[in-house]
This record gives sequence, structure tokens and C-alpha cells, in this order.
Amino acid sequence: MGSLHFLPGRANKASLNTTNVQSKTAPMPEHTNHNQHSAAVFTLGDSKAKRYELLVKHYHADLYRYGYWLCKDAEIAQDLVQETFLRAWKSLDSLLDPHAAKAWLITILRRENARRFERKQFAFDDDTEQDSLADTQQSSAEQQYDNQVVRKHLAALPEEYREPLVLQALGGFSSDEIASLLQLNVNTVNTRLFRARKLLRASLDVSGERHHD
Amino acid sequence: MTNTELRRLLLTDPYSQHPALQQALAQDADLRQFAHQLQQQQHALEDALQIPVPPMLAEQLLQIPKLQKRRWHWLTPLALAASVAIVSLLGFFGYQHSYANDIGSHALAHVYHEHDYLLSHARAQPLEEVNLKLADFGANLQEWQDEIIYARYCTFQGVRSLHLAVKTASGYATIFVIPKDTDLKTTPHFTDQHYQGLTLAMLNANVVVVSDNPADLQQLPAKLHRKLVFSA
Repeated sequence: MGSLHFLPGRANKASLNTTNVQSKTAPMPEHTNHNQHSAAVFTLGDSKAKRYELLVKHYHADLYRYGYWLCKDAEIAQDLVQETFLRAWKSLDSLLDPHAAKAWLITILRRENARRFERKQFAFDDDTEQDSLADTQQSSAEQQYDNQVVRKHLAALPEEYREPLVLQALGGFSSDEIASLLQLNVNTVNTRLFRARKLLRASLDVSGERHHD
Repeated sequence: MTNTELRRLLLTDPYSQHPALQQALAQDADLRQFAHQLQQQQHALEDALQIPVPPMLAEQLLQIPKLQKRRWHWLTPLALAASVAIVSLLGFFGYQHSYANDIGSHALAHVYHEHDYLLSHARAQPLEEVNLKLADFGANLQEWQDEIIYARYCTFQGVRSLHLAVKTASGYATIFVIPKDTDLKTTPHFTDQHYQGLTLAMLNANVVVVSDNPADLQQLPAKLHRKLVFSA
């Protein structure tokens, strides 16, 4: 595929604002107490090592993909997932609700991503890191092409629209859950989801690459 | 609810079960068509979000608790420096005297040396690219199905060889392709406390398989005999 160009990613204000008031030990986020979204993958009676292993097995792929769509870079996404699981291991005993594990991990990953901007440790330039988007293994060339087209338009969405959409389509979270995760009003989340899908639909229609009529 | 509000509801969630929306969908063909389009787009979006995950990511994450258990002490840097010096000396003499002629020991040393790097740098390697590297050894993998996650040149006592890793059910297995012009003594079977290995004498090269899972040493050699083809 040809080279893709994105606008430089915006710092996510929601995550930056929340990060400042979070402690470094990643305690259990309060909002996840009400989150009954995910099926429990472990019980509190399991050993710490077992709980950790189950979290890795069940959630590492979704976490990586979510991280990837936050930063749009495969290497940084891998670093983010590593940092996330390192912190998860250190504060695993604070995760008291097995149903909230996925949201808990996503919260940690968002915080790690925000720290990336605070520390400016990664000299990351969106315009030079497009190759990873082409990295895919699909069974059919047509499907691969379709995926690339959608990825290109998804990556071009402003982050404030892309993130709730990814949480909904990849994480399977409801608007209420997304509102809790992003610490936003549920109406704001719905508006962003609506605008994200409208923008995506418009860009796909304009490029004439997908028609479902 | 107006038509605009219903469409907005669908754009927020193409699978919304809102009663007013469900009622309107039953009566309005245009709205149904709109919902159908959005659901198709949602499918495309869900597919597109499934980008490939680095093949050894889970294994890498599972190492974290083990690494965390290594506590640091104020003497640690000093102890480390002393250890490095001793190990370097012993390693040097050991390498010179006991390991130098043994293909199995060389293979194990390579596996240990590359393990951490491999966990963090494993990537799906396209078969065409692996075959380009294998071409240097007059070899070719034909109809190979297992995922190759690592392919780098290395040296066995100065002889350029190929270090491959394939994803297996329990982690990964290492395959070395080592030209026969080394002076290393072939070891049909070798083992240590973590790994087992065996050497397959093929047409132009010795092919060494190493894994921590005995099952890999059962299934991979037969596959390699069938699918790793050397040109005369």
C-alpha cells in the first residue's frame, strides 16, 4: 500500500487530566466498582501468580490492540502493554472485582500512555511511523485491502472520537462504561461515538471504497 | 422520536435495542437500510481493529513476575561486576576448551543468548523472506505452515549460519541451519536443565532443533525432513 499520512495525534486531555490526580501505584479505579461488563477470568481465591497469568492470557491481545490504536505505533504499543502489566502485577491485590479486570487494565494503559506525553521520553512523530499499519496477515487479499482502507480512515480520526469508538468496537464496552473509563459525561461519549461513526462513514463514502447499497 | 434522532441513535450504536428504535425499524424500510449499512460498517471496523499481535508478547509478559522477584541490594552492582568478570573469564576458557568442538553446546549458548531479545523482537516473518535467507544455504522451506517468528544470521565458530524460531503450542522452538564446513563435532542429541536438542544431518547443512518442550522435538524433525528442501 502507499504511504499513509496522519495528522499529528492530539494529547488526550481527558487522560492527562485524570493522570494528575492518580497515584503511582495504580489503585483500583473507583468507577470500575460498578462495572460488571466482563466475564470473570479468575477468582479471588486464585494465587497472585495464577491471577496474573489468566489476565495476560485473556487480555494481552486486546490491550495491545487498544494501545496500538491509542498511539498508532507497534513498538510503543508493545512498551505500553509491558508497562501496564508490570504495574498490574505490582498492584494486583488491589483488583478486588474480577469482573472489572479488563476496565482496570485499560485504565492503567491509558495512564501509561498519558505518562508518555508527560515524560516526553519517546520522541514519537506520527508522520514517520506509518509502516506498522501495513502489518497484517489476512486470509484474502480483498479483506486485507478493505482492512487497510478502514484502518487508514480510523487512524485519521481525531483521537477524542477514535478512542470511544475503539473501546466500543474492540473492547465491547457500553456508552456508560466508556464514560466511566474516560471520565466523561455519557452524553459526551454518545456524541463522540455518533460523530466518529459519521466521520468514518463520510470518509469511506467519499473515497468510494465501500458501498453497501 | 424524530427520524433524525433515530438515525443519531443508530450512529451512536448500530445495534441499539432502544424500544422506540426497534418499533421504527419494523415500520420504516429506509431506516432498516440505514441500520444495515451501519452494522456492515461496524463489522468492517471490528475486522480492521484486529491488528496482528507480536507473537511472543504473552510469553514476554509472563516473565514480568519472575523478573520482579530479583530484589536489588546495595552490594548488587559490586556483586554483578565481580560476577561478570568471573563469568567472562570462565566463559572464555570454557569456550576455548570444552565447548568449542560441540555443535549442541554452541546451539544452547545461542538459544540462551538470544532468548530475551527474541521475546521482545519476535515478529511474524513472511515465508518468502525466510526463504531468501535460506537460499544462502541452498535451502528452501516448501509449504511451511508453522509461524516463523525470528530469522537472523549468526555464526557457529565463525561459520555463517541461520537462527530461526518457530511459534509452537508451548512457546517457541529454535532451528539452526549450520553449513557442514564447520569443525564442530555433531551431537545427535543434547540436553541441559532447560532445553533439549537434536541435530539432523541434511544435504548441505546440519539442522539443529532446540526446545524446552520435548513434544517439539517429536514433531519438528519430521516436518523439516519433508519441507526443508536442499538443492544439490
